[in-house]
Amino acid sequence: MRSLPRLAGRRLSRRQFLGATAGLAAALAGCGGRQVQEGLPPLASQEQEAPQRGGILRLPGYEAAVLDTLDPHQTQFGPIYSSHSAVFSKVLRYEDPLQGVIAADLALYMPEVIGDPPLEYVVRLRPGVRFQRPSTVLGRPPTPEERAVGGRELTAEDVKFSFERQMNEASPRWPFFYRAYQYQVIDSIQVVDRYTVRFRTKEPVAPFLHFLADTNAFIVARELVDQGDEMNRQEAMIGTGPFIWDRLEVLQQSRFVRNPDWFGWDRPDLQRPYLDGYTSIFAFEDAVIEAAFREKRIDVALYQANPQWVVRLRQEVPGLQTADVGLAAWVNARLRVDRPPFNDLRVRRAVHLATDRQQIIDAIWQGYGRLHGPVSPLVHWALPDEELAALPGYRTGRREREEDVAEARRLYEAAGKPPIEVTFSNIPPGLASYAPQYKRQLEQALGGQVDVRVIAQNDLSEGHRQGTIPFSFAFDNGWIDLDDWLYPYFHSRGTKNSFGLRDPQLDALLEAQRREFDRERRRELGWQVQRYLLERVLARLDMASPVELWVAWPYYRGFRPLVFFGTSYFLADVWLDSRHPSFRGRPEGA
Amino acid sequence: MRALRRKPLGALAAAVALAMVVAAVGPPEPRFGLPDLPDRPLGFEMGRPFLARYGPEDFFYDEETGRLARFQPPSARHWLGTDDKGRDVWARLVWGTRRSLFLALWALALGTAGGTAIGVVSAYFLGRTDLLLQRLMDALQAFPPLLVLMLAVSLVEPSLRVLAVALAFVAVPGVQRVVRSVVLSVRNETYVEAARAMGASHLRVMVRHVLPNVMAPVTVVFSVGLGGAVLAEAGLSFIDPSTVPQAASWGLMLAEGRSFMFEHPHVVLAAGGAIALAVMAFNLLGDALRDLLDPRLRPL
Amino acid sequence: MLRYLLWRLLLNLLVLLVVASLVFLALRLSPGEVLEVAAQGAQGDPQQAREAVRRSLGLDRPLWEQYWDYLSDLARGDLGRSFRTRSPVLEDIGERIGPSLELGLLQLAVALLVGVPVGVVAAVRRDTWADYVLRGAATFLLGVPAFVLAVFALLASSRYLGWTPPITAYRDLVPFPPFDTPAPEDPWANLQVMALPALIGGLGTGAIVMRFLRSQMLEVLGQDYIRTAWAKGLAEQVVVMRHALRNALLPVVTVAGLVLGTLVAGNVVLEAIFLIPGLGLYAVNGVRQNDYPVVQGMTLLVASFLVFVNLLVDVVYAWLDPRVRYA
Repeated sequence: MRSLPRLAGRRLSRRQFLGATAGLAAALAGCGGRQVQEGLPPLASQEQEAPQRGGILRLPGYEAAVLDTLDPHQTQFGPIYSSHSAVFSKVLRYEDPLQGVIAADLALYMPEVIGDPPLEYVVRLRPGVRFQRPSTVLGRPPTPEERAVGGRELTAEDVKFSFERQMNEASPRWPFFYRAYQYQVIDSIQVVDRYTVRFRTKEPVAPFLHFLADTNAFIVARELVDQGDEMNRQEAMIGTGPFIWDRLEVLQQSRFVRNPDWFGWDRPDLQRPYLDGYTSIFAFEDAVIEAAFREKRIDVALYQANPQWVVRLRQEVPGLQTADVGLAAWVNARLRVDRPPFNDLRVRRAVHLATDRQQIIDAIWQGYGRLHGPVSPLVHWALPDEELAALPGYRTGRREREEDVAEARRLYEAAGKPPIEVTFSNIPPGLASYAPQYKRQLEQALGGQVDVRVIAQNDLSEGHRQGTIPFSFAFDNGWIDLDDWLYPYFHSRGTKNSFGLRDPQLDALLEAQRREFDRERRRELGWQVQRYLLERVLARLDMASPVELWVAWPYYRGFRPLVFFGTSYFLADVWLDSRHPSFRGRPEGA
Repeated sequence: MRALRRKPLGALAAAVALAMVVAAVGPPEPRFGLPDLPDRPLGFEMGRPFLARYGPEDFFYDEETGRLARFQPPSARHWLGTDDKGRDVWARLVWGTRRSLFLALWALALGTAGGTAIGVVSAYFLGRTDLLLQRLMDALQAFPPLLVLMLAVSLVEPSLRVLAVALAFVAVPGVQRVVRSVVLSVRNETYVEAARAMGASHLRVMVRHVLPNVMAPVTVVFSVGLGGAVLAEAGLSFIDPSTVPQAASWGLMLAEGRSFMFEHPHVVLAAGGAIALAVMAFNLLGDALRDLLDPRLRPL
Repeated sequence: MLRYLLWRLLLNLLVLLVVASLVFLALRLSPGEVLEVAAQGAQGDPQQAREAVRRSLGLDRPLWEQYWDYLSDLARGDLGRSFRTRSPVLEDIGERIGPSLELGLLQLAVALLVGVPVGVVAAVRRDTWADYVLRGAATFLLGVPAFVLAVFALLASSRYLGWTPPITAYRDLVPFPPFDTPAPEDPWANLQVMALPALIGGLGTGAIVMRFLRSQMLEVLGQDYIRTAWAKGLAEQVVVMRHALRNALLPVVTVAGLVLGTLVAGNVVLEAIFLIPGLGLYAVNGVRQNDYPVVQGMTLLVASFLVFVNLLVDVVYAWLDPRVRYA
């Protein structure tokens, strides 16, 4: 049994992490994804100790916040596809999204890559993977959906169907297959035998394995898709993952129970998941989260608007597991580079330099944030922190700021001081309420006239597509792979290129990283793109991303904070240690 | 003067209410138009409030660190300290007064006027008129206030003018109900019947003989409703901040400050204090007016 | 009286029809485009995406056809399915009405238990310190929004008393298969969930009741018959309770009626904070997400509840005040 003092001793490294320098980041990079497990003993020792079975983990979450659709291929709402990631399997999965470590999920082993340059991927599936039978654990009679697929073996045909469904331009739901852009590179999918699928790409694509492991690459059963090409029903949520989706109650909670038939990756003998189930409780109020966590009604917590209670709680209750990690989401501005005033690079650079990124971090996240370049600082593809922090526009030192602001004003004046209008998204509220302050900030720095307006996120997306918004300011979810961060946004043919950007030189660079299969060399190419963007393009001004302060009770074993949505299969390794002293007083129900 | 001596509390309340209105206004600028909030509450534009030294969104840096001066305690520079975004709380409070107070005043003025008219007419004529009007009110009342506000801002571009009108709609059914109940109990009084018998017109009877009776409850409704209107805006800021136009307001200050209530209570205390003071002042003023207006209370 | 009641019932149905039609029209004619959340960020032509959504929800058909379907569904007692969750609105309402009603009734009970005695005392002891203190407290409650009180109460109780209300108790009443966590319908857990929101909402309403009652009591206490009662040398208790209070209760009934009306869907803020699966939150979310069937269903529900409560209030009026006559 682990004692509290030992855990407390490990908190030192958290403090080191707080003062995160690039050197430490590099050191952490060496130990894989473990930086997200600060305060926990290493995985190895955990395995020596027999995990305990049973119990229901209770998490605060956003699963129930909004529902766009339950269709695993048609949702783009992170919390919803997070739920899917516990219920549905993929061909591959991310073991560690930060370091880009991919492992086999439904595949028996990593796909065989054929050709030089590689154009073919042969996937061998695990035999005996069966679709869930919810009625066996939920105590309800089987639904028609369950009768259709429950207990049926997942085969190569299901894999082929799941991808071709999203590639079908004739589908009435075609516009909603949000990840379809990735599959544009697929030339053909061939079922070789019951357990073997062969993917052929049109061109060499380095991130192809990532595409198979990425969110929304879920494998679903054809029987569950209705005539309208939707599977937007709770009853259709039958997959092959570690958890069965009991039900989603909008604005309240989402409940999952253990799938006893789960195939268990490479270790079926462990009979994971250890938990009987987990509940994600939708709580958005700091007071509620704090109160519930103190009473152990939830087992893990993070702040919403006020980080100070987490800081205080950590001092008050020694031995808590803690983690300060970023969230893969970031504040960014998008400029139309093909029309005035932002077709003038000087104006774009002026805005880039004038924007006080530290102020954004302080005003929106109470100081808990990180500077953000063209790629999230969380993933290993990003420009090194120390390089970014030394760049004009990112420098936070007082004198450097003054220099940047002076340069911004000079450029702006040289460009004729055009009036600037910024359009803010209305969500999240913290961003919208920063709008008037950003106006003051830009006005002071540039000495010109700045107008801001706040519009609905939907209208903003619409405006991006129509190209009617010259300068937008929003908060978006981030990506795992380098390609997703750059290609769709900045390539002339990119699906997210709302900038009017056509730059052959940039296109060539973007295509080059796509063709580069050597990871290190691809990273170098990624850095080249990022530097090019910061020096010559400045179409998307990347600002900052939040740092979440997590606390978890010590009895919550295998705790990993959420960095990316869509990684709920991690919970298969989690267990509740009822022998731990901290478990005492944990109420049965929340 | 006699009123002042007899009702010291009421006089004090009147002074506070007046002070708040004064705090909310600024130097008038000769640009006229339909009343709109927050810049043109009385039909002409006004500049920075007399009592505010800074703009509502002005932010301040910490001299030492060069970062936003967040959650500064009260000082000579910032009388009520600064908030989570490094803005002056006093300045926001004063700017917020213009927005919140005038929003509530306009909403209640429209709402009580409409409600009183409907209530008096309805109870005076009774019969079909009453039945019809009352069912109409039932329908109007069917919507909880927050829902009305959210519907309003989702159907029309969110603005304070829309909020004020929506709040007035919310107030009408309640006001008319109270008024109607009072009128019902006096319409058969001898003085009303006598006036009718002497040939006075319906309008004259309603205005001269019925209306004075309802002034007492109406003042109470008005003063109670004022707090309600400020709170409704606060509630909206809490439930869906994105629907509330971004600007300094008491409600927004409360909604933003609530998360830090224990660590940095000054933001919530300032905004909550302002609301409580306003509600109290208008309530006491209402009481005093009622006492003065209702002659039957004098001997007591 | 009976004829009057029948007539009123008929009229009520008419009102409901009008409400239903108005809401139906307002939603469809409003400039805000439907379901943009669903279409947001879609690939390709945005127009195509929007058409796909409209088609799948049947919003591409002519307005009169939609209206006719809506009314005929309504006649069959079918409120349609939520655009978002695709679950029947009637079922959703059925699940959520219990918590809402319970919370509302508890609040009303608190409001009357506190508001009535305090109002009487404040009126009888007019302009004494008791009156000032009570009125001050009431004003305070009228001036502080529920969410501030709620956050304060939650934090204070969890930090200093070591107690917090359960957050999913209501849902756990429905057993969590197969591991029945707390016993279904645990009244103790239920009471813990409801205590704070009932108190916070109830005191706020109580403050309104108190203000109206005090004002009305003063009015009544100035009437001739009260002075007569005093002159007869009756005990204070008798005068106040028997003669004055009964006559002063009229506006209180009005206020209670108003509160009852909002109780079904009026507790948005408290439901949101205390995670009570009630109707207020459901309705607000429906509005926020342009979920037409939910908004329509909720308005209809609240409207029908309200017209009948109003009918009830009018009947109580006639009973309390002999001067009120209905023909």
